[in-house]
Amino acid sequence: MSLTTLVEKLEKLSAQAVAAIELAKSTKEIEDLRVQFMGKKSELTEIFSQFGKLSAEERPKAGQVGNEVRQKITQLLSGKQESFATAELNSKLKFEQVDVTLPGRMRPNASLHPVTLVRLELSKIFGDIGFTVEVGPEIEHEFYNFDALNIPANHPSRALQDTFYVKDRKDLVLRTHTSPVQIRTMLSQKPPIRTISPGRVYRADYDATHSPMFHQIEGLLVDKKVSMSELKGVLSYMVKEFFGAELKVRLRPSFFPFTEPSAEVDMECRFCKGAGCKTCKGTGWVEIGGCGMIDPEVMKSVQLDPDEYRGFAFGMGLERMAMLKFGISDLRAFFESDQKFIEQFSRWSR
Amino acid sequence: MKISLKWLAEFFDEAHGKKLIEQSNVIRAQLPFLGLEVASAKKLAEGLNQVVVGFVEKADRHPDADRLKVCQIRLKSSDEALSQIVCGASNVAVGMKVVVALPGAVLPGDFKISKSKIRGVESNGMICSESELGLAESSEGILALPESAVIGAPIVQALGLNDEIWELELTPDRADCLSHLGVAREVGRLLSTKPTTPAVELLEAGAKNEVAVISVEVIATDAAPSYAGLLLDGLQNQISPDWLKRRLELLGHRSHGAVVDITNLVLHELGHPLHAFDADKISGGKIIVRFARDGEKLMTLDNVELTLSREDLVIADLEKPVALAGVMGGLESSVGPNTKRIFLESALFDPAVIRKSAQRHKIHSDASHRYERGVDPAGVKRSAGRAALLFKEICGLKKRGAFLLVENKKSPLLQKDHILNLDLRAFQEIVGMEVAAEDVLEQFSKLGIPASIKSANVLRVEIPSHRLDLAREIDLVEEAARLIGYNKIPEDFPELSHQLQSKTSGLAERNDQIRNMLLVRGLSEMMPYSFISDEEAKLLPNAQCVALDNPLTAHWSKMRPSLAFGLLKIARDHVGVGQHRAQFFDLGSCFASKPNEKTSSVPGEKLYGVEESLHAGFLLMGRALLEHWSSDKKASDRKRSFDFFDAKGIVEDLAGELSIVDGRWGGIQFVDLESAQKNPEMLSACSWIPLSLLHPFRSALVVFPGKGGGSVVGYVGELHPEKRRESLNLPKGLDLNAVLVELKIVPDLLIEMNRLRAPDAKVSQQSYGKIKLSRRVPIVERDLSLVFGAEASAAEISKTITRAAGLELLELECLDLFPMENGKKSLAYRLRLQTETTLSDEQIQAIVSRVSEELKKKFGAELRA
Repeated sequence: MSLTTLVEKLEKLSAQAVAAIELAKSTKEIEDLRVQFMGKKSELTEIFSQFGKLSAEERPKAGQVGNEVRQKITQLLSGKQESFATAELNSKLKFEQVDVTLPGRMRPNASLHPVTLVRLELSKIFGDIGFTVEVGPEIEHEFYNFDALNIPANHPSRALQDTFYVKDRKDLVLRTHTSPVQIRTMLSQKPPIRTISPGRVYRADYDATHSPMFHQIEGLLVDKKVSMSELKGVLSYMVKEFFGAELKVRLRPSFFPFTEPSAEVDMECRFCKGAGCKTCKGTGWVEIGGCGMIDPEVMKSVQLDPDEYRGFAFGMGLERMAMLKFGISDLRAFFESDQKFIEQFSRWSR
Repeated sequence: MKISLKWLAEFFDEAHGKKLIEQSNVIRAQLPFLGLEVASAKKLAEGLNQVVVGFVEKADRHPDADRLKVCQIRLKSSDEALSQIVCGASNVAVGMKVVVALPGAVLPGDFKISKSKIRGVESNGMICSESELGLAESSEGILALPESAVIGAPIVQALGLNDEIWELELTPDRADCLSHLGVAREVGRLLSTKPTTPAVELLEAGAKNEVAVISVEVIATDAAPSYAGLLLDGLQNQISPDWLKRRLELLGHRSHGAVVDITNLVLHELGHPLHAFDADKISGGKIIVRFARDGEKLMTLDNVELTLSREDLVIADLEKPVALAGVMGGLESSVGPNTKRIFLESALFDPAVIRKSAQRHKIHSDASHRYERGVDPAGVKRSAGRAALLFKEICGLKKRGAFLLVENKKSPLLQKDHILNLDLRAFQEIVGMEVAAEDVLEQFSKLGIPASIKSANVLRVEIPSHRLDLAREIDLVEEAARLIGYNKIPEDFPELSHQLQSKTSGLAERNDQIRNMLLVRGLSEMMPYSFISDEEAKLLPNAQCVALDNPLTAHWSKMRPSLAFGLLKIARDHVGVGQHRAQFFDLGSCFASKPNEKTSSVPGEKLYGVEESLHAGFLLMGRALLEHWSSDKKASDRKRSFDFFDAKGIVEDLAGELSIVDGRWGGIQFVDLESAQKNPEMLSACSWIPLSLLHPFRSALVVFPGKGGGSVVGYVGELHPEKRRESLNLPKGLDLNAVLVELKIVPDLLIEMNRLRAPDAKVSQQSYGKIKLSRRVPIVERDLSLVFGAEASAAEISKTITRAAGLELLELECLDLFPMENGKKSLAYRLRLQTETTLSDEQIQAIVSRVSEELKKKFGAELRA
């Protein structure tokens, strides 16, 4: 066979292979084509075997063309093979595809009670300025709940709070405030004292805005030099930290038997920033608690010399603070104990 | 207390009175900053345009409705056409003067009046009741106007409604403001003027030419330090003039005839209670102020018979008590339409005595309200004089007897010329605000409190007799701060004069730790009420509950001895709304009456026979596993309910975290109820546990080991199948299981645990368990399947395996349990073994043999094929 014939055969073969590979549809077909065009019994092998019969001048030329054809076919085959493999893997993976918007496997959406959350937060806020937490019993002796707090028997100030009494034990009451903890603290610790006392309290009153059971947090600071302006500063600090906003605090004259001077504490409404809205009944201010300088009579009842020591005290309702913080409009929600209501606070619980 | 703005304005000259009415909103808004809380303010004329006086000329039955009347109303005095109005009130009658809202009127509550047809009959407006006019909360029938009302006149004019009523909520210290005069003093300060005191008849005790027909003897001189009486003769207790009636009506009083109305008027005007007796009903011509004798009776004005005691101060005649002093008069001696002579009482009583009586007899009157808070001693004479003048003007008083005044000059309640010093340095230190002496003087003077400069920093203040709240220097500090304005107090921050430790009491911290542990296990915190009902208490027949003396309702009559009732109530509420899966906890105080023990939850504190202990409880209800789209729909576990072991696992976790006494087990034990029933000592510690609600064979007591078999600290139990329906209030066709858990966080126990945890406590290192270093050798697993007798306890088996396997045992898992037909049970365990070096087959075999041998020896356990 002449060189020309061989070259023509090679070029023809190349064209055939390109066409066949182009039409191949699977890795299996590619494998078949590899055997057909490149195998031991293929035409290409046959052509290569003929090179020996060519002259020494023609042989390199034939070899060059032959190799080019073989390389081309090899490349086409492996290129095609690779793309088929990728496609086949993709379709296999595609089969395992999930809808990523389906819900994940989660734990139940649990939460602490909002009253607990508020208590913890306030404890931290006051803890940061050196206030420790003290607790006391919920059934109290009238000495701690009333007498020591300058609320004598047969005085109208006892009627300020509707008290639950223990049957057959007129000296025991369900504490009406957490102030008895202040008395216990002042009796057991030496000044300087900085404590807060959160806890459950009871009053015989039940309507849309009163619950017979609720929670308070009270603060107490006793030292040699204490003033009402410092009280105002501490309350202002608390409001800013708790609500995370620059809300002003104002005091209004009031009366509590255990403080003198006494004041109601208002803060700028956090919903309207003082502009007036439904929550603050258009006044721009909401009441959050009571406070004052500890009455000298109270100091005497805990054996502290009122000429040497002074102090201030303040108290707030935890439910009230939670209502203001979370925008809850009904006090009863706290005690109706609906898991779905409570779960909404889960993001603050962790 | 109610204040009429119109009346208040009368305390000032015309110009200032006018200013007050014009600027009432501004003035009222300032009162809270003086410590006078305004609960509400109501402009009476609001909504009463186009509301006029009408006269009922005819009232015929509606042709189609028995209860309705078709009225012909005259709206003008001239004989113009009558207006036809259909009225449903039963009291409408011919000849009545009524209030007519004309078409176009918009009554309070945005109630629009227009022409209409009522059952086919034309109606041109509405005849109004008091409540429709916004003058009363409720009322029966239409309002009947007095004869004197002018037909056609606007109702605002006819009823004197061009007024505004303030409802003040006064703190108990401000008794001086329980009158129009008192409020006028504070308001006067805002108007920069002073109120004028109403005119009085000059009364002089012991004046010559005056004869006392009735004499006064005060026996209880401490309880009644000042008692004045005045006989008024020849008066007519007629119907009060309209202005007086109306004035009292606006303040919430019904008219009771001129005599009583005058005393009520003075009460609201000057704040001093007065009482008028019918002098002809005073037996023996003598008034005696004394304490009652036990068992003496008094029928009060409102027809209630009181049984008096020797702590009740009474006004008596020679025979019997005629009034409960300072609280309420007696019916028999009360004035009536025919009264000709009255004995007028004006007195000062000890506040505590009055309060005790008022409370004992559960009477709250305008008089007791004021006496309890303290009245102005100077008011005794002034008020009697004021009333005498009004009696002259209104009742045609002909003559009066001598003014009798019995005073106990030694009484602390009659201290006159009260002088206090105010040290401005003290003011500055306490309030934290600098003030000039002149400014403080000016503030006091504006309120009519005379004050002067005593020395450089000290003011001399004369306390007026009506300011009973100003008794100490600290009270003056508050008064000065109040008058200057709390808003002027600067904001400061307390200095940390000492290093203060920010530590929290152990108990409170521990509670929050438990809360967090339960939270991460998926339980939400609930706060049910601490009260339980008598019915609920019956489920704990051996518990001594703390009962309330004055419960709000029978449902809340006792303090909870256990959290179970609250947890079950919440479960019921969830079932009620179709929320069948729930997991929640409660943590709080429970109470037990221990009359013979002086115990308390506060360490070191004796609380008089009430035990208050902290409990943590939780309830798991419904399906244990959350539904998920991916779950194997055939798996038998998928729909299982929460059961004993879900709850027990949480308790074990809790115990493990709360205590490191014995590694994961936290030292607690679970004792089945059957065994507990056989142990009387253990049972006696269960009075707070609702055993009858628990499944007897799927529940356990939680016991903390210690002296005498340990102490019961709680329970874990599935609800009794027979009690579930009721306890959870399950609707028909629904069955749910719930597991109830409660642990007593016994303070002593916690303290013990704290001691063990504290790093500085003298505790042997063993308490912390032996800490093994990590090993790189492969773990070998061997499974063992054995058959045990029914009585073999899993806890004992685990303990035996652990002990027999020795240190090579890394973990022991209980893989399987199934009961066999012959009553025995098959248990499978997996031993995971690891040591510092790779275990040979022989070594592994030796361990397994050791374990099997030991189990065989102890329980007769046979290996299963």
